[in-house]
Amino acid sequence: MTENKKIGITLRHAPYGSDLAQEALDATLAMGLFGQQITLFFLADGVFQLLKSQSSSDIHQKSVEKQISAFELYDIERVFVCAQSLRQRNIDTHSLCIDAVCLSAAELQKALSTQDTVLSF
Amino acid sequence: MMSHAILHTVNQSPFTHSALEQCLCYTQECDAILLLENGVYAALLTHPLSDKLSGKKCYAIEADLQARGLLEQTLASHIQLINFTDFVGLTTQYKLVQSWY
Amino acid sequence: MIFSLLVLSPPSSQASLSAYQFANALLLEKHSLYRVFFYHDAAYNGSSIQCIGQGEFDVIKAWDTLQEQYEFDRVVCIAAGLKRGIINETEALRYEKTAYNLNNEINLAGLGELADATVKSDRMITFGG
Repeated sequence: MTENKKIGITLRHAPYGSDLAQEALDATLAMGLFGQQITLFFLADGVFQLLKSQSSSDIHQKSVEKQISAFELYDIERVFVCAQSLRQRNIDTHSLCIDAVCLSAAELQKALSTQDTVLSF
Repeated sequence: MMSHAILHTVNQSPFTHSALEQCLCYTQECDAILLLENGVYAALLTHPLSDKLSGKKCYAIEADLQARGLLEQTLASHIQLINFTDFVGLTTQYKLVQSWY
Repeated sequence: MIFSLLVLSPPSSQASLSAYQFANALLLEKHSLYRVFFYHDAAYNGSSIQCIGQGEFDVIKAWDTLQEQYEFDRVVCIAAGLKRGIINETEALRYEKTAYNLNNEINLAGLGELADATVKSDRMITFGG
């Protein structure tokens, strides 16, 4: 794979209720490993994946926060989060486990539209 | 070819699920929305988001409306009924497809 | 145009039927299909032992027929498949399982195949829900 494509990945689902969030993050890390230009879009309930202080061992699941903390190692540095989704859920950016860029819905649409392809999770 | 436009697909009923509402938040003028599967219930004229939807370029899979008995109901007139061949055609016109489910 | 599909839904969900119908339509339109990647609960589309009621549509068999007619890759993500009990002979031996059930026409492979399809295709369409 020599081509370098701009790949957008949208993440809209809360973690743990289903393994979709976990599998989406696995796919994200795999894409990063293949040297693609990844941009992540955390939207709607997807913003819950970014919360700090997740401790999921009592519900017998791997921590999504830990997966997200590995982004840097995989050179995944463009992480966008929806300001409106955070506001609706009363989440402050200080409560997030990584540095994510807060964008409005219109800015997110614009950033998404500049990608070469999108994977929707 | 619309180089910076997105085709949004929605396959959940707007009466039980927020997929369409979320989709509408991130849809710009140049984008289009395709309703399929249970998403076609949004083609009913009276659902809570029909006003917002009426300003958008919108398509729905006719077979999904027909299967659900919706062709006999009052549908939003601006929604264009299409088949899967047209769906494929739309994905060639729009550079990106974002699925809301 | 070259298409690939990312399918996330099991055969019991209409989204998996939509993915099949979309694939069928794009091939009839003379586009090419590079790969169908079954991930998440779509791993269940990899079974070879589903028994479908009389008069009901067997989407897995329909994929077989389509793949016979046109050449394209069908891949079940190995991690998603194994944890859902979709397994081939090699993996059954490795994990000491007494049975295996993966459809013969389908490969069990890693997420690299998804990355590869995303890069090599003009369009990647997600079917979920």
